[in-house]
Amino acid sequence: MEKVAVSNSERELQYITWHAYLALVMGLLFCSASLEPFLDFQSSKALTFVYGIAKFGLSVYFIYLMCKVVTTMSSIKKRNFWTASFEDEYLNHLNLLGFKWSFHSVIFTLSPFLFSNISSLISESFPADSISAKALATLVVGVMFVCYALPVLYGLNKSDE
Amino acid sequence: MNEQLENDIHSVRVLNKLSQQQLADAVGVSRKTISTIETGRFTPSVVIALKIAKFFDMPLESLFKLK
Repeated sequence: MEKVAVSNSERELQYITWHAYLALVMGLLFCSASLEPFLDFQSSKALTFVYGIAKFGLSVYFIYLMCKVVTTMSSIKKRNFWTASFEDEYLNHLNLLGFKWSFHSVIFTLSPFLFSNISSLISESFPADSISAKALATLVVGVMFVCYALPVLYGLNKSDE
Repeated sequence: MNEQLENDIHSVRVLNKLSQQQLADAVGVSRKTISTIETGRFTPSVVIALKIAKFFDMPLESLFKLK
């Protein structure tokens, strides 16, 4: 069977696609882990079942995506991998767009906690003392991953039209 | 859609009976880059624009125009 030569751009495209899906799944797993203490599993068994199934499915998909990313990352240039950049212009644009969204998401996620001392309305809705530093860090990282993945996947999907 | 820049890459490519993938391989970018440039969703760098113009053996200003 004839082996088709794949260009560097196409390899980068494969990598960013799997990477974005992995970021989305990781983000959802992190977000769910940080919000777990706030969900009432005692009163609803259905919620516990659905949540358990969803988390198991995401975990299995995470392992699959991790394998895909590891196999595709070996085909892109090491310098690009370590500097989180792409030689292909559009993919690099999407990657930077993802980072931009990710940066803004941190500000929006943390702002209620930052301003909770100023406004009583915010402090009642977001009681900063009730969430641990670990849970907050997990939530922020989760939101960052999701906010990186969404514009990248949207941009990749949109270009197929 | 870019409101300031328009291009004729799609019509020139079709005229030359080339696929997006063939043009992408010739210029050294991904097919998605060509696709988004054609639809005006992505504005390419001068380097990519010059590469496309050189590939079609056309002046840059006949491929890319300001509205």
